[in-house]
Amino acid sequence: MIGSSVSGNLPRTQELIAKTRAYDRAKLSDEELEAAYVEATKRVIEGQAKAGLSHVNDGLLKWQDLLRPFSQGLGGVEVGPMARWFNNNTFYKVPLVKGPITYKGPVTEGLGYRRLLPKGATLKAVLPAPYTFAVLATDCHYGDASKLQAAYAEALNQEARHLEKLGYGYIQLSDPALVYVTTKPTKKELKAYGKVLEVATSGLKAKTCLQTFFGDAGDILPEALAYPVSDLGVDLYETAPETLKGLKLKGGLSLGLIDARNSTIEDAGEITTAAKQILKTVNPKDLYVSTNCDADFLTWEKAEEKIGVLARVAENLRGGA
Amino acid sequence: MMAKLFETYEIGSLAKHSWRLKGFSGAKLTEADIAEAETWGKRLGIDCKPLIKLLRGDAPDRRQQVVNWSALYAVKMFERLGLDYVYTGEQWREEMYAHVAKNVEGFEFTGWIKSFDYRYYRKAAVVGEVKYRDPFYIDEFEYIKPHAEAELKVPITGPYTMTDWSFNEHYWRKLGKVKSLKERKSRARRELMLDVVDNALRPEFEKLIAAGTKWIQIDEPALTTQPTAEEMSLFVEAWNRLVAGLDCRFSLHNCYSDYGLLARYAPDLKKCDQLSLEFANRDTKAPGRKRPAYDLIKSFEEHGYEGAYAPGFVHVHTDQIASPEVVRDRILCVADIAGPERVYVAPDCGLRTRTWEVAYAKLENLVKGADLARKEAS
Repeated sequence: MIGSSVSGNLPRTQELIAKTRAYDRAKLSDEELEAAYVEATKRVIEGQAKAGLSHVNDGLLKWQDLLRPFSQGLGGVEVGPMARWFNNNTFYKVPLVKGPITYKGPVTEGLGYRRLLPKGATLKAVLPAPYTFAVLATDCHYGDASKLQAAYAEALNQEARHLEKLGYGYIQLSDPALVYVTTKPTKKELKAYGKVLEVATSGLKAKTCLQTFFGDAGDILPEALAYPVSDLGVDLYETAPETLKGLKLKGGLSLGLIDARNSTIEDAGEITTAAKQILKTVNPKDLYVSTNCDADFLTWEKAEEKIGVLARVAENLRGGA
Repeated sequence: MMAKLFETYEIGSLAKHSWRLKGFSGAKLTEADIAEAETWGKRLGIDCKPLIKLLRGDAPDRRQQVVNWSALYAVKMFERLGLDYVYTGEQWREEMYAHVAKNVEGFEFTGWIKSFDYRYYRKAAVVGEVKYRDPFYIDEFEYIKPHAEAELKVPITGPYTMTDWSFNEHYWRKLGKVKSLKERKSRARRELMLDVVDNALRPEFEKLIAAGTKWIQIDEPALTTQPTAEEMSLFVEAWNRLVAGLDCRFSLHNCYSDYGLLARYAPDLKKCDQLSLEFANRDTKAPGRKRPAYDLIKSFEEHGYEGAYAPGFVHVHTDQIASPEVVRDRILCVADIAGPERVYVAPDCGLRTRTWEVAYAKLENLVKGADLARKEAS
C-alpha cells in the first residue's frame, strides 16, 4: 500500500495559541481553554481528513512536549528542568527518573481526542521510543541506560496496548535521539536495541513504525532493518537518498519527504520525482509519504498546505504520475 | 593592552518599563506607570519632567520620543552603576531577532510558533532575496552617542542566529535543481547566511563604524544549536566574511551553549577580540577561587584562542543576587586561567527577564566584585 501521514504532532492554530497565552495570564477559564482545544483539534483533524491522508492523528495539541505525558503519568518519573529539543529553537522538560518506572494507567488518553477522530481512516498514535526517552531523561535510579530503556519499554508497551484497544491501528515510536549527531548509539547499543523494541511492541496487532528524524538514518543501518517494527521512518532532509540504495527491506518505509521544519511549500511534482528515484532501488512492503518530523515547528496554515502536498505526492505515486 | 583591569559592561537587553511599552503602543498609562518613570528618573539623576509631560500628552511623535527616553534611562542606569561600556538596553528594539527581520527585505513573519508549553515566538520566513532596506541599528547609535559619557558597545544580532531562527523559503526554491533534499537544505542555508552577511549586516556595520562605533558585539545565541563540523565551519566562514576589512573591535556573545564545541572553532574567528559567554549559571555560590564551572575556559586556551574573555560573572535567570565577594572569586578564578589582562566583567546575558530593581542590584554587585578583584590582583 501507499499511505500518507504526518510523522508526529501538528501545530496549535493561531487562535488556540492566543487562548493558551490568555490562559497563562489567568485571563481564560479551564472550560474556555478546553473549548478552544476541541475547536482546534477538530480543525487539524479535518485538515488531514479533507486532504485524504490514509493515517490521521488528533494533532497532540495538548501535549506540552513528546515526553511530558510520560514524565507526568508514569510511576517513578517526575518533570525536570527545561532543555533544548535537539537542534531546534524549542524546549522540553527533562524526565527525572527517581524510582522504578511503573505503569499506573493510561498516560495519553486524557490528553487526546479519540472521540473526534474520523471513521474510515487509520488512527495513528505517536509515542516516544525507548532510546529517545532514556537518552533525554535524567536517570537517578537505574544507573544503566539499557535497564532504563527496558523498564520504560515495558510501560510503553502497556500504553500502546491500551491505545490499540481504543482503536488506534498504527503506532509510531518517535526516536530522534537514535540518529541525532550527539546522541546516537554505538554499534553495540544499536544491536541490543532490537530486544528493547521487542518488549515495546510485544503482543501488538497494530502496525508499528520506528520513526527517526533530526539525523542521518544511514547511521542505524543495516541494524535497524532487523528491528521488530512494521515500518522504518527516515528524515530525507538529514539522510542522503543514496543511503537507502539497495536496502533489503523486510517491512515498510516511511519517507520523510515533506520538511516540517521549513515553511516552504514543496512542489508535489519535485517531491514525487525524489520519491521515485528512491523507489527505483528499494522495494518496501508498504510505503508512506510523510513529513520528516513533528509539524509543530510550523504554523497550522503552513502545515495544512504541506499536508495537501504530501497527499498529492502519495496520490501521484499510487497513480504512477 | 587594557589600561584598567577587569573592565565592566552589560550584554544588551533590559526589561522595558510599562511607560515605555504603553507609551509606544498607545495604551492608556496609569498613574503607577507615570510614577515609575518619575521614581527611576530621580534615582538616575535625570530631569524627567519633559518625559512626564510627554506621557501625559498626545504629541504626534510620542512613540519615538518614548523610545528615546527609554534608551536614555538605560544608558544613565549603566553609567550610574559605573560600567565601563554601556548601551541602550535594546530599548529601541522589539526583540533582538524580530528587530532585524522587520527591517531587512526578504523576511516576512509567518505567525507564532511554540517555544515550550504556552510560550511562543514570532518566526519569520525568508521569502525573497535578503536585501538592505532601512537602517536598523544606526539611528539608535546616533541618538544615544551624544547622550553617553561612557564608551559605547553596540550589540547586534549575528547572521548565524538570523538564519537559524528563520524559515528559508527563497533560497530553497532557488536551488530546485539540486536533487538531494539534504544537500539542497544545506546549500540553501549557506546562501541565506552569506546574504545576511553581505546584504544586511555589512552595510549597517559600515554605517555604524563611519558614525563612530568602536566596538560591535555580535550576538549569536543560536550558535552550537546545530552541533556539527559543517555548521561550525559555516559559522566561522560567515563571521570572517562579516568582519573582513572593517576597522572596529568585534566580540562574540554566545550563551547556554556547548562551549566544548565552540572552543574548537574560536581560534579561527578573525578579529574576535573577546568572547562573552554564560558561566555564572553553571557555577555554585560557594566562595573561593577554585570554581570547576569555569574550567571550560581552559578548553579555549588549549585550542589556542588568544583573545579576551567575559565569561559571565552574574546569573541572569534568577532574582538571587550574587555577592561582590563571589563575583570577585569568579573573576580571579578566570584570571588564574587566562591572565588578569584578558578578563572582562559582564553578566551571563542580557537582563531583560529581570525587573530594573533586580538588574540594578545585580550590576551593582558586578561592579563591586570587579573593584574587589582589581584590588586583589594589583
